[in-house]
Amino acid sequence: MSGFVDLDVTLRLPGAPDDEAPAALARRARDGGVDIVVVGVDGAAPVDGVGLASTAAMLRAASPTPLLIPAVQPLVGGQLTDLGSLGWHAAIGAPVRPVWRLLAPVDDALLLRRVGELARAHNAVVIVPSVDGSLAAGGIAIEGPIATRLGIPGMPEAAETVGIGRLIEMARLTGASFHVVGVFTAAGVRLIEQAAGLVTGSVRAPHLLLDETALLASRYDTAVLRSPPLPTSASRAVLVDAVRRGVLMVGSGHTFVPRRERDLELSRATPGGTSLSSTARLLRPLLGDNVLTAAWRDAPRRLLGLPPATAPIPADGVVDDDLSALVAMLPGARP
Amino acid sequence: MSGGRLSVPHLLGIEGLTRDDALLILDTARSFREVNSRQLKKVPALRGRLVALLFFENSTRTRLSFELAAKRLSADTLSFSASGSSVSKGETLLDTARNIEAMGPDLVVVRHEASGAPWMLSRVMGGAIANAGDGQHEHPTQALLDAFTLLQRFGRTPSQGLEGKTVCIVGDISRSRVARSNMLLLPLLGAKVRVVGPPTMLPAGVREVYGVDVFDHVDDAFFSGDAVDAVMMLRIQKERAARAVMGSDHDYAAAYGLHRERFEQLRARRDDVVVMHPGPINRGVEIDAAVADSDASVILDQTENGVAVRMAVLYLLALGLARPGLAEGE
Repeated sequence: MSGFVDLDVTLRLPGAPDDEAPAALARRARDGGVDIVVVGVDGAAPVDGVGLASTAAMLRAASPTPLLIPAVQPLVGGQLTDLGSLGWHAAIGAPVRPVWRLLAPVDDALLLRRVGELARAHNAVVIVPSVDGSLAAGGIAIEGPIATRLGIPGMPEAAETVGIGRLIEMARLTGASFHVVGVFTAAGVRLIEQAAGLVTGSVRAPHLLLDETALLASRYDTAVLRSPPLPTSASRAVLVDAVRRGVLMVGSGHTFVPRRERDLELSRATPGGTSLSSTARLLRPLLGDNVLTAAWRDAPRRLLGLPPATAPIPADGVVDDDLSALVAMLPGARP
Repeated sequence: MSGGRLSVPHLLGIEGLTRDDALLILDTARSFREVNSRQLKKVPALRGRLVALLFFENSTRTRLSFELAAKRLSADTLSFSASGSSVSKGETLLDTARNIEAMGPDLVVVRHEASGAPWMLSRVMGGAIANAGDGQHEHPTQALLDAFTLLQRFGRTPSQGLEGKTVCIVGDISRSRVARSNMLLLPLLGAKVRVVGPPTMLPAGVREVYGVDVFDHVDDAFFSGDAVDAVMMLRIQKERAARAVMGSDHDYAAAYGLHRERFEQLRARRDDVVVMHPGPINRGVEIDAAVADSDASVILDQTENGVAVRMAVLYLLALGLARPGLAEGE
C-alpha cells in the first residue's frame, strides 16, 4: 500500500453507459498507485447524509481497494442538505475526517458562511473550487492574449484571487477548514501562502505539466480543455515552485469526459479528462520522489487526520488516461 | 488569371496567410471583378466541383455572396442551414460534417457560432475549408473584401498595399471576428490600425497580440496624430454580448457612433475619408443613416466586392486540391 491520497477526483453517478464506472475509477487509482480517493460525486441524487451510506457501499462494492470515499455535498440547489457527518465513520468504514465537497463555486457569501460554521462543528474539511463563479462563468481560457487570439471566452485570473480571498475571510470568520482545489494562478498561491494555514490548497496535475500555450498549439482540440483553464507559463512555474516548497498539495483533478461531450466545438465541450493513473508517472520527473510524496501523500493524509504512511512512491502507472495522451501529443509543453 | 497558388490548403483565417497569399487573393479578385462586370458573368473555373455551403449561424450577405461566387464559377452547390436540419434535432457538428462529407464536396464554406469550428471540420473533411465566420474568432473573407475595397477606393493595386494609410476600427472589438481578421490583414498590407471601443468591448491583450493602437475614446482615436484615412464602424452585437457591456443605444451612439457632426470633423481632417461597415447596420446607433448613405461610404462596394473576393478564394482553394476538377483536367 502506497498510502497516497487524492482529494481531487470527480465521478458522475449514475453515469450513462459510456461514462466511467466506479470499478473503472478504482482500476485507474490502483494503476496510479493511489490508496484513498476522495470522490466528489456529481449526480442527479446528491450525496447527503441520507445517501452517504449507500453511495459509500456502492463504491466499496465496485472495488474494496483502493478506498473510494464519497464526499458529502453540503449544498444542493443553494440550500443546506442533510450533512450526515454524525454517521460519517460508520458509512465510510475508516477513521477519516469528514469531507464535504462543493462541486461548483458558491458566490453567496452568507451561504458559504453557514457551510463553514457547520463544517467547523462537524470537524469537516470543505473542498472548494478556487474561483469566483460569476467572474469565471463561461471562461475556457485565461483572459489575455491567447484567448483573444483564438476568439474564445476567457476568465480573468482575478476570478481566483476573488474566490480564494473570500474563502480566507470565511475561514477566519467561521474557523472552518477549507481546502481549495484547482489553484491555477501565481496570485492564488501568494494568497494561500500569506494566509498561513487558514486555508489549504492543491494544484491539479495537468496544471503542473501544461500551460495555456497548449491551447494555441492544439488549435481548438478539446483535449486541452481543463477546468480551471491551463495556467500562464509564469503561473505554472509558480505552481511548481509552490508544490516544491510545500505551499500546495497535488491532486489529479481526474474527471472522466465521455466522447459525446468531447467531440464538440471547444466552447461547448466539457472540460476535464482522466488523469488518476498517470499523475505519479508524469509528475515524478518534474517534482522528484520526495516532493511528490510530501504533496500527494503526507499533506493530504494530515488534512484527513490519517496516520503517516511510510511506503515508497507508487509504481509508474499506465498510459490509459487522457493526461498521458495529452502530454504525448504536446511534447513541447512538458517541463 | 494569376497562376500562383496559396501556401495553405484551407482558408481558416487571416492568421496563417502570408502577405503573398493575401496579394494573390486580392489580385485574383480583381480579375473576377472584371468578370462580374461582363454581360455574361460566368466562368467555368469550378465546373464539376461541388461547393458545400454550411451555415450553422444566420447569415444573409455572406451566404448569398458565397453562393453567387460559387455559381459564377460554375460549381454545383449544396446548401445547408442549421434551422430545419438535423442540427436542430441535436446532431453534433462532427456528425453533420461526416454526413456532408459522404456527398463528396470539394470545397466547404462554413459559418459557425463557435470559434474554431472550421479547424474542427478541417480535421475530418477531405475538401478545402473556407471560413465564413467562426464565433468571435475570424471572418477572413470579410477582411479581404474590406482590404480590396480600400485598395480600390485609394486607387492602388494589391502589390502597392496600404502603406501610409491609417484605418480606425470602432465598436465591439471583443466580440468581432471582422475586427480580428482586419487587425491581422490590414497591417500585413502595410496599414496602421487603431481600435476604439468601450473598455467592456476591448479584449485583453489586443495591443500585444495585434500590434494595433488602442483607444477608449473615439475622439482620441479619430482626432489625435495622423489623420484617419478610413473608419470601419462595427455592428453592436447584442446577440453575442454578455450582460453589462454597454449602457443604452443612445449612450453608445453619443460616445462612439459616427454621427454627422463627428463625420464632418473627420472630413475636415481628410476630405476623402472612407466610411466602412460590414453590415448589417444599426442605423442611428453605430452610424447615422446620412453618413452611411453619403459619398464617403463604401458599404455597398464592400458587398459588391465580396462576390469577387469569394470567387477568388474558392478558385484558389480549388487549385490546391489534390484531385483535379473538370475545368483543370480538360
